[in-house]
Amino acid sequence: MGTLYEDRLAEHIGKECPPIEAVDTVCPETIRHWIEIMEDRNPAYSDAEWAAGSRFGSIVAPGAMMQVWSMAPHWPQRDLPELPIAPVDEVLISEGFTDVVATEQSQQIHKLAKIGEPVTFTVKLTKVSDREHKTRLGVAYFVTFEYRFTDPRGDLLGTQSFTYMRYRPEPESESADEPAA
Amino acid sequence: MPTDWMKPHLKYDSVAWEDVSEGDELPTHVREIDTSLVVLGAISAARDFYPVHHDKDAAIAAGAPDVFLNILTTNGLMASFVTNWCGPDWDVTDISLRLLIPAFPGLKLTTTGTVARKYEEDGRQMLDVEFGAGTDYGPHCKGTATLRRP
Repeated sequence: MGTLYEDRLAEHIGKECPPIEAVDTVCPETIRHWIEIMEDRNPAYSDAEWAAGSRFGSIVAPGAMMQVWSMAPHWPQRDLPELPIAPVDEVLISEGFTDVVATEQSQQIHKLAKIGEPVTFTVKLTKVSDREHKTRLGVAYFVTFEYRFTDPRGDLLGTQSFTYMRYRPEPESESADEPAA
Repeated sequence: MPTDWMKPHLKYDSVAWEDVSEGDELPTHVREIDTSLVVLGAISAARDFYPVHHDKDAAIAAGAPDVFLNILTTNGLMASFVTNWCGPDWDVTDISLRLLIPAFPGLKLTTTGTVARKYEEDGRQMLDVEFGAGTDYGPHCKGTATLRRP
């Protein structure tokens, strides 16, 4: 018998879900709800007149908010293809790694999404740590997946990799080999 | 959507290539973190309904003293920190960060940045900016943004 990684986690790496169309079309209201929190001063996101005369041709959404278009609605639940992170979460939860915290994010922005256009995305599982890591919050596994966002012409808007840590909660320990977020 | 009321708060000018040098520091930005920023950042801006970002009891059950910023809000704050400095004539082509200590209401988030590299690639002007943000609890995040003049 191998390790948890070899027996039950590694097989899921590289799997990708079929394309999913985001619920909300890129719209100035959702963009405004982003920039009012970030206090973003870029006219490309909020000045229609400036944006029309710019290289963008219309208001565009900040690249940093690309993942927002993929967020699941609160109600009703959408019947979506299973994301490739689900089986890994299931294994880790069954082994007591019940709590989760985000640790890293990386976005490559190719093109900004234009208002009025829907965003389509896929999710691919790219990495699972091959052993347990001792962290400040508890023993943990790190899971990395990658979003890929495209516009209606199939042009790549950007990719985003995202790493989270699943851990067995325990009182803070003194010796940690990974900083815990 | 009317936008005239926003115009006085927008930044139309951009940092000129010849005015940037490696080692230049971006203007330090201080943002008070309050519960509104944490909750609205998660729910209104990012549509992240994970309870630790809006429900203090859930955050405490997860071992935190209070609700804390979600990674999308942190990333958005960092991206805006950079673009509010460089202006709209630059494209952000890459932004990557690592989260360190969570950021809680009642703390001040201080963000700093440095032009780490100025170079040309495929005939285009490029800047790499290293940034970091921290609170009284210590470093909250650190990362890099790549800017390109289209």
